[in-house]
Amino acid sequence: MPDVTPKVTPEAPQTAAPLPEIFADFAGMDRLPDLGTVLMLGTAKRHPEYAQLVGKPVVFRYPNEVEADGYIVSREQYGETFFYGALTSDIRDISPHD
Amino acid sequence: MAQKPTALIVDLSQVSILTEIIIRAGNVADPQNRAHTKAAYEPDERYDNQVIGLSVVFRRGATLDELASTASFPNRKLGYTSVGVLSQELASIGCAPVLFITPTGRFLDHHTLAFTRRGAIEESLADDALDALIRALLMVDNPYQVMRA
Repeated sequence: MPDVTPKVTPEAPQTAAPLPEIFADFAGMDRLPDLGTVLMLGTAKRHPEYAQLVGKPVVFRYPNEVEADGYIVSREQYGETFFYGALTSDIRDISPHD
Repeated sequence: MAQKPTALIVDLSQVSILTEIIIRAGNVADPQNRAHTKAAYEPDERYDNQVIGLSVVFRRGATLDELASTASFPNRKLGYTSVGVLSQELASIGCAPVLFITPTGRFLDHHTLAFTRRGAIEESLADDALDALIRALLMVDNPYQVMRA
């Protein structure tokens, strides 16, 4: 009798796609009443590429120094669209240690 | 519609140049950070005047310890200098510092440090200005490192 047991091939381990990395200077952190700590990312005029990332998880990184998880928020202020980075994790130290 | 505020400028001729301290978070002296420091020299479009430069903290009369503890930067290292030393290093390349008063909700002492050359604000951080900044800054471990967002 032929073996009709379905063969189960182990799936390759799922590797999550890396989150988009956004350069941000944590030395300019701000606070917004409804979002808590945010990073100022600039206007849509200067950074149109951020529009497609609004609301999506990203990593804000100042390479060689610090990083944090979060997402991009857009705000209308002074008749312009500004992008902010809202943080959802604590900040991680990624600096090289002595 | 709300109008953008104007960022005032610290009158550096009226401060004690040997004692007034400026802190820049992070290890600016690390050669691997050169490009990042240049990228961080950015405009702040929340003001109606031309505000561009690096995020720093400054408070007239504050000690290094007071400034660093109030800021509690997440960075492992800090760079600090006096207004006098920074001005001297910048003068050696024909530049001068400008400090815009740009407080944030997180850093009440936040200022934006720009460099002028021939009276005009530099719109990007040139190599010689970055070198002058690095010469002016003393790098130390940050005893008040806080990672909380």
